[in-house]
Amino acid sequence: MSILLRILRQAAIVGAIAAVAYVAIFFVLCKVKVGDNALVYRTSDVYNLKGGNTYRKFQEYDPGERYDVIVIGSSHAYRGYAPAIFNDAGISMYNLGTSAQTPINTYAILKEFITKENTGLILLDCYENAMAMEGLESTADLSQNITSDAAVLRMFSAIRDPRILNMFTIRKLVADEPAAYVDSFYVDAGFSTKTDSVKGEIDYGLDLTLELGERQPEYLVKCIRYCQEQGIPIVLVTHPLPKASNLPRHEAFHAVIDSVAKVTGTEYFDFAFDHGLPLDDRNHYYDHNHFNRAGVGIFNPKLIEDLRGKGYLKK
Amino acid sequence: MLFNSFAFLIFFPIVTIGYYLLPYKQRWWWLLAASCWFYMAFVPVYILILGFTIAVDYVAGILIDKSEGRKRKWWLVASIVANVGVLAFFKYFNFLNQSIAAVVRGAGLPYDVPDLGILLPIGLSFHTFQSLSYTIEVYRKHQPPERKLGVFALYVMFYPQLVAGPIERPGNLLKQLGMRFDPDYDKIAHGLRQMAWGFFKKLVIADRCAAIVDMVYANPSQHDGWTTLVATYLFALQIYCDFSGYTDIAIGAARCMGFELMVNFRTPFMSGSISEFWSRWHISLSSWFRDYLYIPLGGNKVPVPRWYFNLFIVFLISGLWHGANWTYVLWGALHGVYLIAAIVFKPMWTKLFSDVKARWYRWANVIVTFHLVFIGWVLFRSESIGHVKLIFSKWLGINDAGRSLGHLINEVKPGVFAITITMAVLFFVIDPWVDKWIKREVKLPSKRFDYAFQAALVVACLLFGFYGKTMFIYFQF
Repeated sequence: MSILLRILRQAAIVGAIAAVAYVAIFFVLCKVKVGDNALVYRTSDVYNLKGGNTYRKFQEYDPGERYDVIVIGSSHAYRGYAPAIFNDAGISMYNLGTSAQTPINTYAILKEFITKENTGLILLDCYENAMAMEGLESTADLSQNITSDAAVLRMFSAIRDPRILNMFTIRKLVADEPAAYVDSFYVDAGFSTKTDSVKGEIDYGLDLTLELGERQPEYLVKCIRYCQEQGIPIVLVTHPLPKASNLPRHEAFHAVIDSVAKVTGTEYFDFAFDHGLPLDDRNHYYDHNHFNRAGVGIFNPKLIEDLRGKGYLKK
Repeated sequence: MLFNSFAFLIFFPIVTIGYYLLPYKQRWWWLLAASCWFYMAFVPVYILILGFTIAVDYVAGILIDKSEGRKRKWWLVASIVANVGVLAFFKYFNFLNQSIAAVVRGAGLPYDVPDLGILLPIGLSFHTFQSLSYTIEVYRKHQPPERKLGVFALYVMFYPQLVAGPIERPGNLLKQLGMRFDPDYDKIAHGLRQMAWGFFKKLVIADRCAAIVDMVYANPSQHDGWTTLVATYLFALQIYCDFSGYTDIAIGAARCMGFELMVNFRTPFMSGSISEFWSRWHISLSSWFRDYLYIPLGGNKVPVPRWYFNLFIVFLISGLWHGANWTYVLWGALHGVYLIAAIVFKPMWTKLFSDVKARWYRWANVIVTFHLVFIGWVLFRSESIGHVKLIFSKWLGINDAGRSLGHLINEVKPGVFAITITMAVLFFVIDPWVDKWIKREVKLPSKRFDYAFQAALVVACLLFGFYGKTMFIYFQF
């Protein structure tokens, strides 16, 4: 026993020295500014390129207010579903989509922000590229910009990557500061959009095969089950993709999501290649598969119509 | 199970504490069960292959001991055939099949024997060699046969060194499995320190270098000569830190339970000759080949041409041991040629430099040796002979088309590249000292320094560690 105590004592001394050094280093990184921004934002693209829209949408989102629809998911979600179009149809909507958001991250957001009282319907956008990730990129973004510590801790426990300790330290050290970078494409209610269209050659990743993040299908089921337990209707949606996209890869993805939908008794609207809309690959997207404002303007009314047709939204 | 995983962070203390809590006579099954769990975390069904090896060599050991004369030899041959057969089937079948297919189809004949669609069992070459060393030692009457099947199974499966060595000998490990170890503060602290150093090497140096090396070596035609050169320097550091890092964690984890495993590395990049390099690099493998192949072939106690042949064949097989690819065979052959050349030119070299005692001479030898080994790393890392040719042609300026080093730096991000290079240089500077502290060949300056050093390793792993699903390179062998 005395040996165990000696080992623990040594571990405690080493741990204490390491903790002091670690916090000191992060304090310098977070508090010393070069130009307008702290050093830590200058060292990582993850913090540098994200932030603006995630920070704002969670600052502006009020869980005490009820929305008919909450859209959630990755970049396809926050760039593909415009609250204004839903509002024009008499539906209140807020977009909680964030960059590279995976079902692991979505689950944490649902658990901490969404209740039957504040949400009428969840539209969960399913995008193969986001679900191919392990969730660390989105966790980096959300851990710096989301308003709930509990949601962040929930993501950390699911991700199990030591880098989350660094993220949490930064979160705590910059807790009182606004996002370092502002997204100029942010519109409102969580929606961001661009007016650019595709110019030049685009790589549609036709040689890619489908490799989903190991735990993403499991967490997608968890997201659905949570909504079902809460009594919140949930619909899975994949928004239209350019015709030149990788069809075999999407078919494999469709099979996975479709099986999840069947197992959980959920509706899956897959518009990827089957939408009957006058969308073209150049004028309605700003890159390989993200909608621009014009694309959203064509897709959203069709989605609302289909949701009404199936009884998910009042006419 | 990977050492660099959350699962291991839980597994290691549970196994170690459980080991000490159990009565001495019960410990073997606890360690055996832990080792099975550790191995089955990869591909569970492959434990059957290990089970086959264990069963064959356990029986062979007893039968060899009971037999005399030619019968004794035949039992050893049976053990060797069974072990090498398993290795050949799982590791070399596809290689052989593809090589035959290339020759047959090259001659315009049809060939349609399909490859085996199986994954190579992790660490197969390591535990096969460890198990073989047992039957050979029993045959040589250096080792009595182990009568307890469970203890013998533990000798083959001891989890710290199961999948990437050090390749132990029964005289060291099997003997210790019968010994009683009580908790010893110094040993445990020493073990934990060595594990921390291993994690630093793996997470901060090896995996950080790997991110850049993999990018370049995945498609060397896209990169110019300077870029492939830098990537190869980084690979030299990656493979050393990856493998010696694994070894440090293995030795440290075993030491925490009282076991002393073989030293496997002694700062090999500080070698002043190729033969010195092989006495410092993967020592457990090179000594295995020395004891069980080179010396039985006659070693250097034979006519000179035969001596050269012995050296060459040992290194050729050593190359093949590393992987079923012609690049590994060539890598082994290159080292064989180096050693033969060193013997041939030694008289001339001695005549020219026998009077030179200066430090610069030692350093010049170290630099030359490093670069001779460095050329070999191109063969070791390349995916095909075509890639090897391509890289050398770029270095010789024959075909230097491709993206520049600046492009690569931008691709991996200048900050990330700078951290990698800084860590690499820092490591080169401190490794010779730290290696001696870790092996306790030199005392640490003070207790405070020890604490600060360990804390620095922890902080470096947290701040600069490269995380994700990264295997140890030598697992594939």
